Amino acid sequence: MLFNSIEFAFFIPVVFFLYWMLTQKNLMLQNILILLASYFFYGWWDWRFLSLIIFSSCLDYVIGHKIYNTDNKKKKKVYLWCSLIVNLGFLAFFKYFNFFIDSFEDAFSLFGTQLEASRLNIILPVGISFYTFQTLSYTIDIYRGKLKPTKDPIAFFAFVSFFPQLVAGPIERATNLLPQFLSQRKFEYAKAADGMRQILWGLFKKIVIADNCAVYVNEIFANHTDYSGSTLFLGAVLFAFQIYGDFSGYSDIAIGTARLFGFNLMKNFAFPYFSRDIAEFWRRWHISLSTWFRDYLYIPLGGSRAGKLKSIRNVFIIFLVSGFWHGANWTFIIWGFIHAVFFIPIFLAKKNRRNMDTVAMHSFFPTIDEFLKMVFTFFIVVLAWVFFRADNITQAGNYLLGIFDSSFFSLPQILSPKPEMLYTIVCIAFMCMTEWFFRNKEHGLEIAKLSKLSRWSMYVFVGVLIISFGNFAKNEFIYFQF
Amino acid sequence: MKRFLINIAIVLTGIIGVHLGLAHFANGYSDGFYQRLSTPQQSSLIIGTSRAAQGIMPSVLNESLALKPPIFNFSFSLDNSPYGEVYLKAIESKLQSSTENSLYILAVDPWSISMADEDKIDTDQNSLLYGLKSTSANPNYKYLIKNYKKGWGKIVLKPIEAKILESIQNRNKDLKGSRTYLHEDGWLEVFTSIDPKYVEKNIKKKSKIYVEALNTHKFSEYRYSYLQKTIELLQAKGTVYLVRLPVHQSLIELEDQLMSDFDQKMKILADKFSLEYLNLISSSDKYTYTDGNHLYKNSAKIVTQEIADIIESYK
Repeated sequence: MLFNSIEFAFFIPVVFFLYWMLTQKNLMLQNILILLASYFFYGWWDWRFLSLIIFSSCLDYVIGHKIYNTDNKKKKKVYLWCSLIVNLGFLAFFKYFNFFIDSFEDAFSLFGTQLEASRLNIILPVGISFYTFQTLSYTIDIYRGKLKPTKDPIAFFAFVSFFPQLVAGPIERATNLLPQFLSQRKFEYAKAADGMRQILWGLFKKIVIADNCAVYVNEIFANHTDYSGSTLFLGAVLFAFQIYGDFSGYSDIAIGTARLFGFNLMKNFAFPYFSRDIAEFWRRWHISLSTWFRDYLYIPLGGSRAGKLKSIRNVFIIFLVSGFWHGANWTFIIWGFIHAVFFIPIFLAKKNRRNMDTVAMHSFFPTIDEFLKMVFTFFIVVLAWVFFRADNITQAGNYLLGIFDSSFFSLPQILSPKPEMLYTIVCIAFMCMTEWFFRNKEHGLEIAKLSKLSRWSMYVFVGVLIISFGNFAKNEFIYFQF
Repeated sequence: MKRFLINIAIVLTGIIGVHLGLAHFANGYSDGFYQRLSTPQQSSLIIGTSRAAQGIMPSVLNESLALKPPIFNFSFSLDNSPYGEVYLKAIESKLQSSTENSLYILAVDPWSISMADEDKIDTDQNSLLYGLKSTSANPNYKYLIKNYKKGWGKIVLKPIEAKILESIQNRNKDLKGSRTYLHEDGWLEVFTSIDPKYVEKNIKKKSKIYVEALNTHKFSEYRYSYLQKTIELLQAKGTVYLVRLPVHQSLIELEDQLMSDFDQKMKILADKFSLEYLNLISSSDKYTYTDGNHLYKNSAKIVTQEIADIIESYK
């Protein structure tokens, strides 16, 4: 079920009503309802793959207890590896099987040997990368002694499958989300109202920004050889806004929806395009994934305290794995590699933690220096996005070569016949201005402190923008494929 | 909780209210179809695809034939109004129930009775007329909800765009590109350059589309049967004329490849229903086209006058 679908518009009020009207005095009933609603939400896409989630949940529920109940360190390790192998095995099979086959064939062909391995017609279960990581955090944290296993299977199953963030995150830690399933939620007006604001803003970013940008991005990338350098650059910039609107929009809707039910999910985006360097960008982009890799991969590998060479290796590993997590295609790995290359210089100069605060914290406008740094960071991020969006490395390479052509200085071609694009650009400008205004807040429409008239005018205005400029053709969220 | 629900209801009411109001601004600039589906029911109709939408001017017929009540152009496009169940239902819905002694002009051409896949289930379900129960509601909310999937903003922005483009085109006559205005009588006026080089380019583009369509399209029993059903429906309420409008020579050749016996088929149909078939294709080289498929407005006026004269002669 998509957040931007009619089905969800009916689903959410029904669950909301049942949750607060019928189950509000009973924690068990609240969790059962969340669990059933989550399975219904997921099963709406394909009920067969519910079995995977249920299996993973059962496995990690049992393994969590096994790890906790044994004092034998070797046994603890064996149980943890069981969880890792099974969960990552599912992920590897469904997401990467054909990729590995292709890559092996390509590798053998380099030595003159032609292999003809058979491929499987595999459907990628939606959200498998997200809930796999979420459930892994549970067993790893128990192994590390940071968390006690829960004795409430309903709460645990609901935690793994919690519908607002099940298919595209934020990837929650058991230490943050699971305890919320163990204590009764009470309706709080301020929390629910802010949740609605965040949902509204998420819908704006998805339906108005991402889905409109997608129209031009698809056209430009599909026929990139026909377009000038400036048009190709415009296409890459629009993709930057498309993926931001799509993914941060999804996160906003997920976090806002969770708040309607009394839950607090972690922040997943913190206005990343206002970053002054690439390190800041990664502290602000897909925070739940970046911190997951930091805590469960980078630090166990030694992090930045393992000597210079090992630290560089660790940086490359985390970016390459992050790229590979996004998809079974070399383009994602190259995308991760490019970000590692961007990151290494400031990492070696020990400047990767210099921009920890929000830009222009004490003034409305940034300084010229801050502005130029933001523009530069955005520029290199846009160039890297070309690999993320392209179908293959050759296309990405040709696309980038096409940008750096003399036609880069001409007027973008696609602007002239389609005035609709101007509206999209105006909407992007509105989004950027609004988010700049609220850049030190939790989300782009955190306007609880404004006057009632301003708030309500803003709600209606954003709602009108969504219906007036939204693209209501059924568009899936990009991150569903990861 | 109560306060929360009330506040959501108020905000939603505000958002919906704005859009209910916005729909009233939809007009002939908003898109090339809306006015035909938001004007009152009619008695006399021009039926067909985009060729008729642009090529037959109700105002000329009304004046020449002194039609009262006036004739209305209810033609759309090849994708939306080929002969079929969907279009027939829309025609029924547009007709006044008490209609009699009316005039119906059915534009026909080989494409309007051909189809890519005869066995396709739910034929024409992509037509904007599909599932549209009312063709005369004003505002026609169902149409707007169904067809404005890229936002309702264009209801008000398209007219502004058109005005800007109009002023630019007035200052620079050689400017390429086109804009449209759908008149209240259903005629679609197209403002475009008829610079020969530009037109030639458009004709090539259009021909390319139809050359590709030749590979997939063939005569359709389904469409042909619905053309007959349309005639049956309308003949019970007045006089029906079948008209084949002129097109550019390159497209005539393609139509001959698609259905070499098209005129024969129409003559058989005309005999069967005792009606007149006005074949204007032989005078095609006398007219100007925007893209080979559609008559330019000056030529549309002449062709419509010719149709009016022929009809007058039959009276």
